[in-house]
Amino acid sequence: MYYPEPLNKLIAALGRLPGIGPKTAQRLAFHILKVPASEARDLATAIQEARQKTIYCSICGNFTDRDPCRLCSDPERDHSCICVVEEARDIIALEKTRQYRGLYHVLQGAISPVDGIGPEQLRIKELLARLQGGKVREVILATNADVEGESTALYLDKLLKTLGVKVTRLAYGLPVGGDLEYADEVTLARAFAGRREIE
Amino acid sequence: MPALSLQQLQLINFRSYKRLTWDCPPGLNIIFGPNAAGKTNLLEAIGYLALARSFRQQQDQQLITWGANSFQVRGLCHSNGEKIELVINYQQHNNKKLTINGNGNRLIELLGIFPAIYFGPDDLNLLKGGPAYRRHFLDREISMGDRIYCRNLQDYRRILFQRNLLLRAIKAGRGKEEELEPWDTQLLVTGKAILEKRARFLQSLAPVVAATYRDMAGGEKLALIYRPGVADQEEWAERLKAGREREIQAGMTLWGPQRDDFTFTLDGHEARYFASQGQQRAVVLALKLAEARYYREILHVMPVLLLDDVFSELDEERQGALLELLAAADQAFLTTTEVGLLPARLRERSHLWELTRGREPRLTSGPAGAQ
Repeated sequence: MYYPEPLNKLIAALGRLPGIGPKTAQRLAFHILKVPASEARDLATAIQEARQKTIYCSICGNFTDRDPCRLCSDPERDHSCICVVEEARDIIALEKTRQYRGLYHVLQGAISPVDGIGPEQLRIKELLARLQGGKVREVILATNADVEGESTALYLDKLLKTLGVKVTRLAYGLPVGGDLEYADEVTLARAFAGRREIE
Repeated sequence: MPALSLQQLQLINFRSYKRLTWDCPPGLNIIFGPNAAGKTNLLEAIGYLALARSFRQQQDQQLITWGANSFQVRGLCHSNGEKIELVINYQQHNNKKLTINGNGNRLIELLGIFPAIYFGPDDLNLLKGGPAYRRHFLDREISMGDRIYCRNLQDYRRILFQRNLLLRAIKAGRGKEEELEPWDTQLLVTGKAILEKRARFLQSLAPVVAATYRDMAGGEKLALIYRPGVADQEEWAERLKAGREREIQAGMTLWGPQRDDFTFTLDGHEARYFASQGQQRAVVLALKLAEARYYREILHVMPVLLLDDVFSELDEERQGALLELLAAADQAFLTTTEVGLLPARLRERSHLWELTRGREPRLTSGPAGAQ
């Protein structure tokens, strides 16, 4: 209405991004118009290239620019251990810990009837295929702690145990460095339920 | 015991109040005015600070002043010598935000900060209405003192919602029966926690209700009996297994705490069928008084009392019981259309506020002995 049509289109497109409201969309659009033309072009090219050159790894389902991805083709990593996550972004979080040296498997979602997602819609068949050769000893279930993530973990646990592979679930607990008194009751209760003996 | 009171209430676009700032003293406050002056709305706003929910079981959407698209309830509370500012903002389409002393918080953090008990004419539904009223009562009361219960409840509702959709999907041939298994496991685990806490709550409430009724009405023996939707976890698991086909056909979860209820008996007879009108009022009053006692004795805090037009319907003996409770409260708000109908000894001890629609309450007299 108030803006020329191309600007309107840009604001609308930015406003469809997650976490971006109408005001932020407007601010970003004005910013893009103000910066040198080359910078705006770089942004457009970056978006286009990321779309064109990023694919899913045919083994683990992570984003990658070559197939298989760097993690799956790394001989230094422990190929007998697979950590199952809901989304590719979960891998980043786990990788930052630098504690885990095994491989990953991205389900690309969690079981959720309201979204029409059942086991068939997740990359479970691909996971089973990876367990075929008998090289994998342990599968770590690192789905979210909400009811959908929990259902997914319970489903996989039952399915995988029949194959004789060791299945573990990430522990719920207190944030490290966090004072007990600042942890919320729910986290504390779960940490209690998952307590263990000191080795 | 920690003293609890509301010092100031501020409203923006809440029900009949476009804007309101009201400084309210501790002790007894009587709000009087004609029908539709906004008396109940005022109590509802105060009660909103306890749970960020309406005591009248209304959707937040319904609380917005006509023509606006958001509302705010702000309360300056005094709790045990500490000042706490609670602000709850609701934006249309379900966006609710809580800040405590200026800091953004999750809604669950509100529980237990400003407990309040509302008692109004609709509460007769606790006896005569359907089981949903009584489950609502249980959930509200237990949540106020137990955040884990509140979380369990949220999870349980989500599990139930997803499981019911899956049952319908299976019926329509879009899902397999074995997909139910993880939902069953979660249903049983979360549901068990809810059943246990409800049982424990009612167990500690029942003797208090019985004693309160005895003190007030005498005569018959009142009992409060929990009627859980399933006897225990094993029985429940059995039923789920045996009733699979029925559940798929029904497209919904047929057993569990979502079917819970509790009943009252007077000398062994179901009060909802056999009690007189007066006895029924006494039962509900006993439950409400017991609730306050429960807070005081078990949670060690006296909640703020919100009594909506209840005195006129009670006989002298029951008025006496209510007065006794009011004497123990740090703060109470009472509404009436006719101040003259209230017992003189109550009026003398109260601040009297006159209310005209949409306006701030106007103080007409303070308690005897005060300046």
